[in-house]
Amino acid sequence: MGVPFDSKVREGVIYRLKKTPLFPAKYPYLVVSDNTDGPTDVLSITDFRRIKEKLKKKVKKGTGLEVTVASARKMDAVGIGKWLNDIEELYSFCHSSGCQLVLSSGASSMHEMVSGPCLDAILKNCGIDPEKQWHDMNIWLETKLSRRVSV
Amino acid sequence: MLKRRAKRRYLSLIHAGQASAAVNAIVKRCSELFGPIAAEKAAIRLVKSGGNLTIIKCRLDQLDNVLVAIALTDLPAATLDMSGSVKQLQRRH
Repeated sequence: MGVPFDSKVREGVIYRLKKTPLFPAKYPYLVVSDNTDGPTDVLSITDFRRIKEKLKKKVKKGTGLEVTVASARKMDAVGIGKWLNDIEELYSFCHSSGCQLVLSSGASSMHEMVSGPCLDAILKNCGIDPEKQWHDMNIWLETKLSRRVSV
Repeated sequence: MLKRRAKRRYLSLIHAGQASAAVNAIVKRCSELFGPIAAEKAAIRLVKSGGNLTIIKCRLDQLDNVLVAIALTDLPAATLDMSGSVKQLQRRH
């Protein structure tokens, strides 16, 4: 999931857009933003501890809360420990607020991609059942995309 | 009691930079995150390298820790495939 739209529509790809398109789109997309104030499909989170209280007040039910592996790569071991703990907290926050945790690679190159087993291992490390996570994610994604008006 | 050989997994990786640097970065990250004992138990070793593709091996019981270390290594590396034997891994690529 999540490729920036480059005006070429490819089958089986869900595009990441910064804004909702003005006209009905022919392709599946999700609006991704890091702004907690505006409406968005996926909210990109860099520091959960800092915005936790704000999220409690402002986040809408059904919003995807995205954490990227790429941001953790540059951290030191202590930072990664906190990052993993934040994912665990974010997961329980998602449960209580009706949101969906989205763990993505955040890759900008081929080498930065993260395989399924690696994502599973990260989830397991955070005490999250990978099978349940992907099942919930699938349902969330289908619900999000089915609500779209398409041409 | 019989002394059995520990089960291993072979992982093929695609990475930026030199193979040895990538493996060292993975071992270092594994040690930082899970401790030197777990990193030593994982027995991460370089098996083969060619271009940007590298095969490493590790202990099966530490596989999850190794996968986390690969995903969170600063020198980016992505796991392409894994197998119980290096032959099977090479056959698939």
